[in-house]
Formats: sequence, C-alpha cells, structure tokens
Amino acid sequence: MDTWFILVSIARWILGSIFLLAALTKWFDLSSFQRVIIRWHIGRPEWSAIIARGVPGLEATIGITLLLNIYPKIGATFGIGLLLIFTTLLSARLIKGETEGCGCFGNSKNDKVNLFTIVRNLIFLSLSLFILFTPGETWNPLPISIILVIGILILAGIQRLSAVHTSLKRTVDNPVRAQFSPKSSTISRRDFLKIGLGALGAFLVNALGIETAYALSCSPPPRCCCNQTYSHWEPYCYTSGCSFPYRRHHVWRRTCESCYCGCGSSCRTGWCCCTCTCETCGYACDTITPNCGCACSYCNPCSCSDGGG
Amino acid sequence: MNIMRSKMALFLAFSFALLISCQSNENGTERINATMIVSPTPVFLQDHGVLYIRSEYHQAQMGLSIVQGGGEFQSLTTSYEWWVNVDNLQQVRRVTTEWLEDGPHIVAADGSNGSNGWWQVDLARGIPQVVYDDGQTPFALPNLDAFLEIFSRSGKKLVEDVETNKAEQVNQFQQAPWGKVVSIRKTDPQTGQTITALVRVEPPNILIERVVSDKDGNLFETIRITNWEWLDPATLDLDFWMNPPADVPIGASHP
Repeated sequence: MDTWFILVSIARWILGSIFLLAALTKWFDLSSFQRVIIRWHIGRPEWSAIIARGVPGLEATIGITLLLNIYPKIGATFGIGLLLIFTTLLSARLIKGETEGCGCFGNSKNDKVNLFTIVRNLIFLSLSLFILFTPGETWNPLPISIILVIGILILAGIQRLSAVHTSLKRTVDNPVRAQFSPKSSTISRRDFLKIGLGALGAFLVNALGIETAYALSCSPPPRCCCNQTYSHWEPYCYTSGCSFPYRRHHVWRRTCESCYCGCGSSCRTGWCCCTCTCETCGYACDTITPNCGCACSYCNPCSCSDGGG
Repeated sequence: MNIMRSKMALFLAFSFALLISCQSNENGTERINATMIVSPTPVFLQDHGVLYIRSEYHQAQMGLSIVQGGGEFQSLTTSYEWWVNVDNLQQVRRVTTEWLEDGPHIVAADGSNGSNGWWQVDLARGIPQVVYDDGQTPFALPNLDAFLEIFSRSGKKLVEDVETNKAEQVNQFQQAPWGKVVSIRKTDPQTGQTITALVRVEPPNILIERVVSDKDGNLFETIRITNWEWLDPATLDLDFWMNPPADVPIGASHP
C-alpha cells in the first residue's frame, strides 16, 4: 500500500475524531455554547438556539464522514469552511483582548482564547487541506473507525462528568456565586438517547452504508460508477490473427465505484470482456484510464513499445 | 458535475438528518530459459529454408489471461511462434500460447499451405475452433526484410539511443547465432521504468532480450527470443502448415 494513502487516512482519523469530540462536548452542554454565541454577537440573539444546535450537527457530520470515509473530501471542504469562520472569530476576539472560553470543546474552563487556540485551528486547517488535495484512495480498515467513534463518545462522557462534578463542587463551596454561574445540565435520558442513536447510526453506516451506497449507485441506471479501461498492446507486430503490418491491441474493461476505487487492486471487480483488434503498428503505451477519482500513480503509462519486441 | 451536486445534497441531507435526530507472483520465470537455446544450425540468416522464431513475453505484474477471460492482474507468460518459409512467404504458421499453471493453452494461431489453403483459430475474436478457408492467406508477408524489421525496430532505437547518449552501453560480447551483441541500459522518461536490453550490433539490430523494472526496482516484464532456427522445409509436411500444434489445447479445453 502507498505510504501516501496511509498518511491521508491517519489525517482523516485525527480530524474526524476532533470534529466528533467538538460536536459531542457542545451537545452535552448546549446552553453554555448558546451563551458563547450570544456573547460573541454571532447573528441575532433569537438565532442563537438554531446556531448552537446547527454547528455541532455539522461538526458531527464532518467527523463521521471523515472517520468512516464517506465522501471524505466533501467533509474536509465543509471542515475548512467551518475552521476558517472559527479562526476569524477567535482572532478578532484575541485582538480585542478577550480570552474568555471559546466553547470549542464544550464548557471547559481550560478552553481559553489564546495564540495556541489559533495555531491549533491552523493545524486542523492544514489537515483538512491535506485530505482535500491528496489522492482519493484511502485506507479504511473496518474496526478502526468504530473504535475511534466509541473512544470519542467515552472521552466526551468523561469531559461531561468532570464538568458536572466541578459545577456541583462550586455549588457546595459557594452557593451564592453558583446561582450566577452558567447553568449546567446533567446527563439526561435525552443525552443518552442522542449518544445511543449516534453510535447506532455510525455503526450501521459503517457496516452497511458503503456497500448499500455502492449497490444503489451501480445498479442500472448507473449514477456514479466508473468504467475503467486497460489498454494493452502485444509486444510484437504480426502475431497470430493480424496481417502485416498490424499489431494486436487488447482492451479490457471493469467497473469501479468512483468514490472508493483505485488504480491498482482496490477495485472490487475483475477485468473482463477483452476486445481484441488489429491496429497499425507503431509506438504506443499501455494505459489504465480514467483514474476513477484518484491520481493513477500505480501505472500510467504502464509500458511503452513500438511492436518490435 | 451532477455527481458532485448529488454528493453535496447527500451530505447536507445527512447533516440535517443528524441534527434533527439528535436534537430530538509467483513470477513464472522458471519457464523462461535464462540462456539462449542454441539453434541446431546456429546461423542468423540464410537464403533458403524455414525460419522458426520463438519469443517468450513475461508480464510480472499486469498479465490478464485471454484463456481465463480476465480477472485480477497476475503474472503471465505468453509465447509467440513464427514459422516462415523464406522461399515462399505465403507459407507461414503462427501460434500464440499462454502458459498457465496447468500448462500451455493456445490463444490464437493461423497458417497457410503457401498456395490455396489457410486456417485460423482465435479465442479473442470468438473463433474457438480451427476454421479452414480456400485461397491465398490474408496473413502473407511482403518480404523477409519486413519480417525481420518486426524484431529489430526496438533494437535499432536502442542502438541509436546509445549513440546519442540517451542510453548506456553496459557490455559487448559474441553470441551465436547473433554474432556481436551489446547490452544496453536505459531509463524510460515516460514511464520511469529501467530497461536492460540485449541487442545484435550488426543490422538488423534484433532485440534479443529486454528486461523492464518499474520505478521501485521490481520486475515489470521480460521479453526474450528463445529460438532462432533454420529448418529444412522437406521435414515439414503440409499437415504441419495447415494445423495448430496437436499436443496443446486450444483455449481452456483439451483436444
């Protein structure tokens, strides 16, 4: 396997995990994130509830698309958009000298706006760009995505419990102050329902989604399948079946899923249906075309000859 | 463009739905003889007789068998054979054979008695059994030089590349039936592959052997002329010219 594909897969897992974690920590404490939106004057105050719910929704979708390798490039594109907006807002706050919590990962007291926050976002932005501009074929072994999704759920749960614990301690230590501190909700049955639905959805998409999407897209009429052609020339002119001075040309075909296929062996169907013709002898190269969504570094052109051995 | 638009729509729909729900080779080289099989009469060219040439083409990485109908890329060896009567260029026999795990299988073959009959079999063109026809063969050669040029075109180019410093001459030695031969190494700028070739120095510059390695140094393909022999036409009867080899199955089936 190409090292390049492993690198882009690792970038996808890191960024996907971060987006999913950011979404879950916001969901667990929507009221705090809504207050951040009001404080930063993002849109009208009556929009804050919608934005507070929409942003984690989008983050979760980006996270899942990246983790499960379902249209990861589109996920990365939305991620770039979201990160650019966040970074611009955070930079403006930092210039004004405001360092109060950004709400990036829920209501964590450590989540201050500082230079590190900006640098962190720029690193995430670089990872998104890397995913967007590298070849589409990625490494997607089944258990890793599920392990990461479960790990993120546990992490988000621990973060949430820690926040609840801090809030309770604050109430005991200083009941008067606690009255005026941001209201923290505990993990409700609704929260559990969200987590359960999210995990179930992720599992179903991972287990069935890609295959089902492939079956749907490749059944007639074809919508996203990619018909690949391998053009191979026999090394000599004037072999059996061709008169002088013609050379035998073999054209093999296969159907690949455009979003998942590769140039080498990752296409799930074998080559078939060779069309063999005799064509004028001359310099020609074996090729595999089109690349079906990835830069065909594997073999293009594969070999060249002039029919003279 | 439409695919991209549908992907975007699917992505947004998924995002919306999530929001709503949550808020509520073996390489086969054993078959190839590493050294040239020395002809019974090690002569390169002569005025009379039947010239028999056999070449083995081994695809180490990207072989697709016509006999097996395709499938995944595999290592595959194909042999090409020509028998040409230089006294009558109408009298020709050619056989293309794939060497699979269970032995040789004819892919295509044809021939002519040199006067009024010819035959062919061609799996790739849907002719799985021998078909006979009357009249002169459509596969006749214009002259012997044209035939020899098939085997020397690449060799000539490599010799020219050495002269213009596009390729490197590695070694030079004598070998029957070629006479003086030269070993040449070249990197193909288009594919990044390294080519090591053995070419006859004197014209026609027959390409005796070519070994191609890919960018990573792995064997990609080899082609070798294993036989260059002159046969006595008297020893070959009309059945020979008008039939494929009897001991090799045509396609996947046995005779």
